[in-house]
Amino acid sequence: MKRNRKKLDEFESRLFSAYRARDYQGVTAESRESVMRAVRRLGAAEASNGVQLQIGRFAWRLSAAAGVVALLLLAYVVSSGFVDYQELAIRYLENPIDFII
Amino acid sequence: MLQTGIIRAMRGNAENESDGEVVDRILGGDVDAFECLMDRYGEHVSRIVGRRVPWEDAEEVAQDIFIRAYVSLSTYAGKGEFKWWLSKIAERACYDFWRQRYKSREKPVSALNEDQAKWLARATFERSARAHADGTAGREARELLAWALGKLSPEDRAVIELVHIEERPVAEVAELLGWSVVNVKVRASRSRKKLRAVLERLVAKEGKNNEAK
Repeated sequence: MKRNRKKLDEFESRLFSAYRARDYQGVTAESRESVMRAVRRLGAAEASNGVQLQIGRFAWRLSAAAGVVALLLLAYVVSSGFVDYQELAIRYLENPIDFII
Repeated sequence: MLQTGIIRAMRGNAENESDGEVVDRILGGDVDAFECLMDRYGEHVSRIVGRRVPWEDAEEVAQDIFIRAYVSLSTYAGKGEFKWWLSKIAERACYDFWRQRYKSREKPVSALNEDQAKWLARATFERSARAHADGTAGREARELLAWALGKLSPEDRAVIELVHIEERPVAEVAELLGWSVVNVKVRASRSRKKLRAVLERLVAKEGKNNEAK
């Protein structure tokens, strides 16, 4: 059992070493040309679209903060005994005799 | 003539600029300045791609990485090292490559070819480690590992390559792949077990074949 595990460790280690030693091919001239063609086709517009995308993402991030602020305000309004005077005025004008606060 | 001179002068200028300055120029509309970034980081991207994806697909994936980098260039915004930012795009592109490959299952990974089987027999049953140190053994070993990794999910593959084979810190891997540290830790342990199980089955099967012979 122990021998098998050791054997497997060695085997795995050989595979990992071979992986690390893997050679690579650099970026060829054709490859570079192909990328540049694609990039020119996309043009500067694509890159600046990214700015709009960033603004959009930022707005989404702000939405969470805005939600928290709204909840805090609501809690404050409830706890401070806020009175809507406009609503009171409308009710008074509709029926001034039976009006009770 | 004059135009070529201007382009050369601009390129020479770009060589002295920082990555952030080159990015600003590209975002300002000088699309050709992107070539300068390709010059600087072409080798770096090739090195990543060369390890992660099969040789025949490496060039296409490398191109895809540069195009992705161009499209999301404005998200770089000069924060941190450009090389690191590009590495994240490269690692995620390689991960996406495998996800796509697994979805389409273009190449079924059912059995080893003859060379891989021979290497496996040598690697597991010859006592001398020197017997495997020759140059030809490397290719078969890589193919065998690729075969074994092909049995795992793209997520497991990515984690094994980065954490276990390249021995990168977990936090770094988490940032590269855009996962949480906990997720990487958990997956690193599970995926290693899965890989070892695949290799164990392979070695056991080869042992039986050898005994039968």
